[in-house]
Amino acid sequence: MKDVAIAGIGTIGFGKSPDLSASAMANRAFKAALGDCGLAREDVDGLVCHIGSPRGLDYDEIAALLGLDLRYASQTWAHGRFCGTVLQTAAMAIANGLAETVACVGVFRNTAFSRPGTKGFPGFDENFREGGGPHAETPHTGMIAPIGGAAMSFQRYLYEHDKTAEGLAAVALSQRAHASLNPLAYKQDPLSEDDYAAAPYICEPLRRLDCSVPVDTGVVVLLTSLKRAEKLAQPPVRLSAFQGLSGGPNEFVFGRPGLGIHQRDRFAGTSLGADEPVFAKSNLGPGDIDTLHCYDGFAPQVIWTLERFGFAPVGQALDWIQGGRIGPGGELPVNTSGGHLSEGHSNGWGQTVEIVRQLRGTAGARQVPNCRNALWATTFGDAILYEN
Amino acid sequence: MKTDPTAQTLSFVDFPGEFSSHTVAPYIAPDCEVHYEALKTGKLLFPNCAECHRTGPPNGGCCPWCGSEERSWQPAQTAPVIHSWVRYHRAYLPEFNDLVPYEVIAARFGDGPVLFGRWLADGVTPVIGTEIRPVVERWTDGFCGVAFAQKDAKS
Ligand SMILES: [Zn+2]
Repeated sequence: MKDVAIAGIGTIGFGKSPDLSASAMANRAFKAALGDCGLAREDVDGLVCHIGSPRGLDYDEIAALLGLDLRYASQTWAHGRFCGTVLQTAAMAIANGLAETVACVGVFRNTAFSRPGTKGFPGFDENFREGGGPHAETPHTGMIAPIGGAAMSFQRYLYEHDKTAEGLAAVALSQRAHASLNPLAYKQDPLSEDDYAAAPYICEPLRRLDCSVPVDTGVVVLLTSLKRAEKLAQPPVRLSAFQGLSGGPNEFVFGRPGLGIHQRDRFAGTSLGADEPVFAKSNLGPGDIDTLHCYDGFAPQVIWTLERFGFAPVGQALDWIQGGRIGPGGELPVNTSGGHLSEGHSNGWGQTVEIVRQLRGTAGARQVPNCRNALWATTFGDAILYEN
Repeated sequence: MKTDPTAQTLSFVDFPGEFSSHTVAPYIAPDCEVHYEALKTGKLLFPNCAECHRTGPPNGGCCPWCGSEERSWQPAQTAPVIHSWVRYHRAYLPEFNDLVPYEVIAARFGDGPVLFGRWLADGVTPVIGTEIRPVVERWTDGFCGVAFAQKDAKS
């Protein structure tokens, strides 16, 4: 997909806006993205949106309310895991001539609703899917809310690798250190190891500071052909390689493959590491990545992403991240915007605009020096390699 | 450890409080009802595939290994062990308000399915790898699920 690039980005920031409609958030982010690169509304002929109503906005509403005339539209299921899928779908639509310029829309209202796992949360009925909830929820057993699956996986991970949970603090602390340099981050106040140790357990072994912070946000990313992007106001950020989201009996969205958490009966997990397709397609390896951005609904997902994509040996990431390795100025700065844990839970869109800033060299105090290759990668297997 | 499947009748506990299961019980497709109906009689049954003879989890209408829909419902052949566990310090559902902190066990039956269930041993921290005992947990409306007790506990 070397011929497709991100041309423009726009965001309303990450905070509490319970009185703002999803369409107003989308509109503001959309205008910001157009203004960023100098495209006009009429130039946008494709749309891929992430989460629909009521927490987001469905594709047909976006098209109607924002006045877009589309010849290509698509939308993913109401979960955070599809940021990469949305961007990949847009890139494939452009590469195959279905659209010339695609708006990728991530709009999320959260603070107007009760928290995930409670009966007032939109989509509570998903807990009763035939195969169990999307994060292994099984309500009558008390296994409820996304954190349950993440905590269950992490406990098993600790056992399999003979580790203790203390090392996980480095994820929250590193990402907060990044967020303190990001004026858009919802949580910017510094965190100490004592703060972390004092944070209450929500679902043991995970503490409150291991959990993402719910926010309201709107992000629009404009993709177009590299040829067209080169004529616009900003330097293009190319999507130079990608791989899709994984699924199957070994896969669980909040765990390393093969941990056997979601009432599954297969336990054979393999991590391809540096052999993941995203690297093979680009002739790059983990050591060539200047900054990694990953889905961090819960801190252990950073650990599993580092292992899945070969940055750290399997079972060793809790040790590998110590000593500032993933923080500001570290060997591999991870989630330099603060990620979901500190910037706010944007389902990957905050990370995406941050990747673009890093590759444009406009990330301010948190700029990674000489940033050439940035990777988006997740516990659940999808990845996008971005280059400037 | 092998158990005599025909002799195995699980003991029953009532879910604490006066709760109906109607907002927490799973959706049960007609071809998966056997597991839940058997629990009401104290039997824990899993689907055993007629073609590849593997034992699968109780949900789902086909064998995830070979795609066969032909299966017989067989008692668990091995006692479960703790595969993982968590301790909820927050109640997301009103049914669990009076229970926090409470533990949920992921219990692995041999090489077969992993089942979640509430941990009934108050004050006892679960240990991964420990053999445990499945118990039927009954709600006021008659719905029955699986919970787990210490292997040698009385109820
Ligand atoms: Zn089979």
